[in-house]
Amino acid sequence: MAALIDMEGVSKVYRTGLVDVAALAGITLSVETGEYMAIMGASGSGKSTLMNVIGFLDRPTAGVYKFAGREVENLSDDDLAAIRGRRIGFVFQTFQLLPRATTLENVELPLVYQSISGAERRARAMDILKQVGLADRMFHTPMELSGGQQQRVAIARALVTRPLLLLADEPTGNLDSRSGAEIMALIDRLHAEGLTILVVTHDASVAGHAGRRIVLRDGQIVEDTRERAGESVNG
Amino acid sequence: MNVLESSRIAVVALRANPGRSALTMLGVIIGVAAVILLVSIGEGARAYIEKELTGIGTNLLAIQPGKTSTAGGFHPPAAGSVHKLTYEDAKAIKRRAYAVSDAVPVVLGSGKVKFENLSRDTMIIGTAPEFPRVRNLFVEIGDFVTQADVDTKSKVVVLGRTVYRELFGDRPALGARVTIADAKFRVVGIMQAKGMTLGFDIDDIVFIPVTGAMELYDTDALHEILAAAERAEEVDLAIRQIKDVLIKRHAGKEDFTIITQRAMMSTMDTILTILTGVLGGIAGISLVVGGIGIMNIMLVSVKERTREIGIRKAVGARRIDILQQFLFEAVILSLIGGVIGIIVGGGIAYSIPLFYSAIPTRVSLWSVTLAFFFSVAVGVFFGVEPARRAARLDPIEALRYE
Ligand SMILES: Nc1ncnc2c1ncn2[C@@H]1O[C@H](COP(=O)(O)OP(=O)(O)O)[C@@H](O)[C@H]1O
Ligand SMILES: [Mg+2]
Repeated sequence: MAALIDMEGVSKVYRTGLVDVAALAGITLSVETGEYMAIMGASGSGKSTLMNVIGFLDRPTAGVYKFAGREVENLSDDDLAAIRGRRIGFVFQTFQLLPRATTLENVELPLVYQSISGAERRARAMDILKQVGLADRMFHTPMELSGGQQQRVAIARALVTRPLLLLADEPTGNLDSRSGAEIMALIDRLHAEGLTILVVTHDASVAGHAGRRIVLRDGQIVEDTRERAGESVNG
Repeated sequence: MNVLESSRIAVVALRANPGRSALTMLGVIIGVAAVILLVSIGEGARAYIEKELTGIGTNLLAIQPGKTSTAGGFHPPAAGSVHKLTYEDAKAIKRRAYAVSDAVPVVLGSGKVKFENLSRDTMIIGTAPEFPRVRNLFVEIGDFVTQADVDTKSKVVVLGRTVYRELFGDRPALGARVTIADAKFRVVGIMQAKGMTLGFDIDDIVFIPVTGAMELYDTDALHEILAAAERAEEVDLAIRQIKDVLIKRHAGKEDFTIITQRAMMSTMDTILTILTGVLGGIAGISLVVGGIGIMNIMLVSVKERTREIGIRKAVGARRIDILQQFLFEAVILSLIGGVIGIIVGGGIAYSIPLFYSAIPTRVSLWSVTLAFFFSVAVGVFFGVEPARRAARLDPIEALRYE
């Protein structure tokens, strides 16, 4: 079976005035369905950029990226939006919830853009919220929730579309250690249920949950470790 | 995403900022209300004048001395010796133009009418018995000037309502003698009140036999001949026949002008249509200003909600979804503003005549329809650019926006 993520020499260059910044400088990476991978590296090493490219929020400036066997380069912005909405779940460090919408409305949001009926949207969102333990917070707004609860809303929103891939960019970065541990436990459970997961983190203990670990430096993969196989592939 | 969903999202966003939404709408409300109001005043004036002109008498023709080029002109050149129309002309028309039912001589003058120690400056019309019939006027008490009065130049007078009230109050006037230009005239009739017609008080008039008037003013020229066609369809035929008769009598020259009711109406109609258009156009400018207000607020709103746009895009919103959402906000603002504006403008237009009867108004369906679609168009026109900016935002940058 083809890999879920298949990157070959992917680069992302930002043009800022006179200097070009290569946020990604030739990434070659393959991720199988069902993998749980941590992405580590110093600040500015290109972790978020890699996540954004993988999740179709951004386009590479060079290289080939195939997602689920499909070449991405020639897809239109709207095609990318559709893949993003149906196949990918995003979790951000800063939660990124709509501040005035309720928990339920925030979780329903991706389904709004898939022409799913109001009743089904609601049923699916409620179901997911129960799974993340927020059944009693459905009609609260983000301001009325703790950071850990907000991040669980964000995870519920990422899961409600039944994605192939969950991308979490420093999901515990804004949380105290206990809430962080809860969120990591939730992500572990999702992996155990079969979901493919990529987590960006600085935290070695967080990375310890993952079966595979890559380290970025200056937009390149400098380390790629699989725990079970015990092998190390240097980029 | 369907239209219903977009509208729902737009309404939620608008309700999150009720004060701002209401103020933005106010611009459209004022614009639409102004359009409705000013157009209804223009339309009202037109309806009023049309009614008044019809009320003067149908099938009416006025033959005036002198040749004017424009149909419906109100000021033909003054009658010179060559151009004059005479009582004989009127009689000839009546006799020979069979499509003409009446041809009434009119001598116009003004002067003091005195009774005891009271007097009034008024309009004096010298005419013939058919005058009331042609002009849709009625005698209330006594009789109008008779043919015998005309033939014998009798010193008789018929008083208009206003003149009667000024000189006699409620006292009986029939048989009384009033003085006009040093001559005594016997009152033989009092006209029914008719009221103002086109700002002219048709009751502030006295009627005397045309022959007497010609003597009074020492002239044999008529101011005009009022003629009526037998039937409305025969107005053109009547005009041809009148021309035949008069040209023959005037040594082959067409030295007179025939003004038709229709020509007067269409001239007035043209003037008032232009007036209504100009008024509506001026009001339309304020609607455009309202539209600019919408655009301004939408641009601010897009900026403020950059992060929201980023979130929506990150979870799968396409450009068209974002475009629709913001466009609908603008259109809903202008649409609700338009509906309220129609109600407000229509309400004011409707109630003006209740307080100022001198300003007739008419709220027509076409102006309401036009204002409605115009306000929606304003929403689309001024909403599309902010919505496009929102739709074009880069999701990553939008998500980072503080
Ligand atoms: N929009 C941008 N314009 C210019 N440079 C950028 C932009 N986004 C990221 N970068 C640069 O790309 C590099 C990688 O950024 P990022 O992926 O956010 O790193 P990380 O998430 O690992 O901290 C950094 O040097 C950053 O300054
Ligand atoms: Mg980052």
